[in-house]
Amino acid sequence: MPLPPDVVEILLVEDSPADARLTQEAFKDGKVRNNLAVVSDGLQAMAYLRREGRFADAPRPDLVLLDLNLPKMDGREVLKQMKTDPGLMTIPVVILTTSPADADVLAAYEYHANCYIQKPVDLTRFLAVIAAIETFWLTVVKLPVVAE
Amino acid sequence: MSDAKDARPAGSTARFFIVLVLLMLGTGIEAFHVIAKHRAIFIRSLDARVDVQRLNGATQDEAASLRGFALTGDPVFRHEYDAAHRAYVVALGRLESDLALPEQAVMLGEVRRYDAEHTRWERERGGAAALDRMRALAAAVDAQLRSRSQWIAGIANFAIGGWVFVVVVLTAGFGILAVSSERRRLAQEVRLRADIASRNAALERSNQSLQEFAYVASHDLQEPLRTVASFTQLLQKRYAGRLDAQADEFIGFAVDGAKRMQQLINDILQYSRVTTHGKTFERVGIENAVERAIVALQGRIAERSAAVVVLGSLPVVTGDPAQLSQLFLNLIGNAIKYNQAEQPRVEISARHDGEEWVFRVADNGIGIAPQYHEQIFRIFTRLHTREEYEGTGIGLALCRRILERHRGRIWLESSEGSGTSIFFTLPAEIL
Repeated sequence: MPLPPDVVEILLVEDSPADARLTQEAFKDGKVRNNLAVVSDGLQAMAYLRREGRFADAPRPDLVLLDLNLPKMDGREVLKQMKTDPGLMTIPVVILTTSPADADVLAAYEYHANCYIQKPVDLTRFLAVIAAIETFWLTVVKLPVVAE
Repeated sequence: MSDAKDARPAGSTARFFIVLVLLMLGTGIEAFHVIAKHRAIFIRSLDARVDVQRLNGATQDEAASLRGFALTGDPVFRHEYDAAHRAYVVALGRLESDLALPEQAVMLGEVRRYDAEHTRWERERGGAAALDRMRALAAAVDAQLRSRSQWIAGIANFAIGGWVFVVVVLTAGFGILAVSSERRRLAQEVRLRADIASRNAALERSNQSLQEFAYVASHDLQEPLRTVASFTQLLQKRYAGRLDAQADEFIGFAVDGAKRMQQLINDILQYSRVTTHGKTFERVGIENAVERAIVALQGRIAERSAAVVVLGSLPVVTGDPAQLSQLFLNLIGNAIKYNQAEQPRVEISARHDGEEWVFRVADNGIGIAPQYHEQIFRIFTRLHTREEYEGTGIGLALCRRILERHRGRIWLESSEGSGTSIFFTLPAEIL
């Protein structure tokens, strides 16, 4: 039985550089060692996950943080493709978006998102949410180990 | 303007019909008068005709008895003649009183003159001539009678025809007038309604686009503002005490400003959501709405050891349950917030007044000076500094907005230092 990785690989799909940076800052304070890679649109996200082009050497992420409203290919499509791709469907996807719309929440779970989080407006709460994601997904949850 | 223009043809039509009615009355009276007069003449003429026949008979009897006497010399014929002559005189007298027309009178005059000028025996000799004259008179009376009756019939026909015509014209006229005025009124109403509808639609559109603008603008402003707020806060968190005191102060202002702006934008969003994101109306027990507000305010109520009491019972109305709870949340919240009493007291009551319910939320708080009673309902209007009482000034504006959506009104009664009573109305349910 392979040991769980000591460094957790996280892919953040986020088009706002400020939000990406803020999330990086939040993860910096974390207790679990992690590598946070950031891509800014849906096409890049799929290329990263499928290790295409410049992402040929990208690691397989243990967790994906996915924004919904993205340029080129939006988060809903990324989610759909991931969850219908046998090679990617076991990767937990956390939807992290500003949208409070019930329709978005419902659609996300219909496409088998693992959870849906609305980004808090307030910094303190945002940091708390990222800390909660880290605690839950990186320490509480047992993630699948895929032999490669 | 358009009223005066439309009134003019209607006025002239009215005048036309007044003339027509007068004409009808005039013709009617005249026709009846003529018919009545000629009817009398006609009846007298009928009598005259009978008189002429009698006169004729008497003349023939006279002639017959004269001839008999001349042939036989029998005195019986003499008596017969006398009787016939008496009948002749009586008939002549009657005819004289029954003749109504001048031409008949002329004829009669000639008969009398002949009688006066000729002796009995001369008349005997001229018997044939007298008979002819009588026949002529009878024929003349008959002719007169016929023409008279035809004339009366003509007059009557004309009068009746005229009447019928006038009545028909008048009825048709009034009909046309009524129909055309009704049509004009309808057309005007249709125009007016279309006008109102298009104005309403335009107003609705502009109102809606304004609301959408407010919503989109504030929603889109949230994103960059979140970045500003987050990074100034991060700056504060990571670098407080590591720069100098002035830098900390500046960062503090930036953080505070961004937070307040976020609050204002939230308020605008909430305010515009009243109409853009309102739920469908349903039956709402006000008691439940108040209960929900009290639960949401539990912290503040406990903190101030406030008493929130409902006096009497509260009705069931039609509305948006969330918004009606929000309404009470804001009003009860204000009543406790702007209150310096040892134990803030909030009384909620309702009374039925005609077609609406009048609610009252009364407190023993600091009160509001009369000059602010109107402006306090405007968005972002505040009577205190943030140091005295925190807040953005959205509460009462939101209440008014919610009530506008529910076809209600809101006002207050208060004076400084003697508490405030907020009144608002909601339409009563139609049972």
